[in-house]
Amino acid sequence: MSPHFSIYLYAVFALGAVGLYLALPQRGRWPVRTGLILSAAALAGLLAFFGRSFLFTEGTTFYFVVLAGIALVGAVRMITHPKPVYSAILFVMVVLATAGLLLLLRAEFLAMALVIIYAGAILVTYLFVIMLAQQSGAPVYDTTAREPFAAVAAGFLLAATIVGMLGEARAGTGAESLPVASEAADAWEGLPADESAATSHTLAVGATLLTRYVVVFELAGVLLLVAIVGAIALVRRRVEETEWEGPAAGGPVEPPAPGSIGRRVEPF
Amino acid sequence: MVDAPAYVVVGALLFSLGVVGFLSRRNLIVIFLSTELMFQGVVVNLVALGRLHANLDGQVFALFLLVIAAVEAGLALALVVLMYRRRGTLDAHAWQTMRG
Repeated sequence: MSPHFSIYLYAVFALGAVGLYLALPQRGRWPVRTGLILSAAALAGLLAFFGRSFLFTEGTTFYFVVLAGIALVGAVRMITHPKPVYSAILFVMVVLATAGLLLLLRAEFLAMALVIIYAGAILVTYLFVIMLAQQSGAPVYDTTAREPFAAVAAGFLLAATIVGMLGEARAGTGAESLPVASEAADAWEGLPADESAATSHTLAVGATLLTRYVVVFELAGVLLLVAIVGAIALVRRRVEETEWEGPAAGGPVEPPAPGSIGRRVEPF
Repeated sequence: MVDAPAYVVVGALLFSLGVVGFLSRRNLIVIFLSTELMFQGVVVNLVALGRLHANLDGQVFALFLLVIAAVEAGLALALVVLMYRRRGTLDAHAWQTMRG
């Protein structure tokens, strides 16, 4: 990517940063709408940059532009929407768009794992907690943003730095762009040479996972177990064990039925 | 043919949008949701650059990142529940007395 492309991207990011600053939750509706329109314009500029060769190559670029657009629209609206339920649902949209991008990169197993684990497990947990803990109406902590200018400036600097590093001239390669998903990249490393021609991605990931990375695999299982135990230990409510004193000491005549101690515990 | 810098730009944008959401929202749940958005950006980056090298290391890394994201989401929500029980609100400003 040549340096004047990165200058164009800086300008697009600056426009998007201004739009994002206006679109973060605040009083009044017209700043939010103006901000969203500016962000949409910046996004259009960015997608035009991605699709600049769209008319001349095959359809992969079109899907990339569409999926990247959906992901970024969902992400912008997710962090600017005042209601957390909408943020969670928009994040599902971002996850699906990211899974689509991974499908474009021919990582099918990872795309489906992303959908199952993120949209199916993590987001459902988030929605449960939102339903349990979110106050109705529009509480003040949802309708105002905290340090919007500093946050947007930090985000813009981060994005501009990462993208700026892409624009630096690469010595010795002789190629302006790095092609992804070329035909030579169909052969995955780590498989025997005779199998890698017509193997599925899931098979390749499974073989790599269980041969080269088996120790990390086991450690991931241990980590999950530790996290389960930790989460339960964190939110467990302690119930006092009360001794049954008997009628002589002034307690109730009947002993408590087995399992009745702690039966009525308020969840929150 | 989409080149790798395009995917890296998308990943970088998703990551920085997550950073902006993390820094600017007051609702504890939305803060952690922005963390998950950062994870999405990193996954896109990893898989694209792994594909560039015709290697599966990026994807295996992303798979373990999914595990860590699930773990982090579970523990973060447990902490959010505890914090909600303490102060009765999801506002991050309720814990502002630790600042300074």
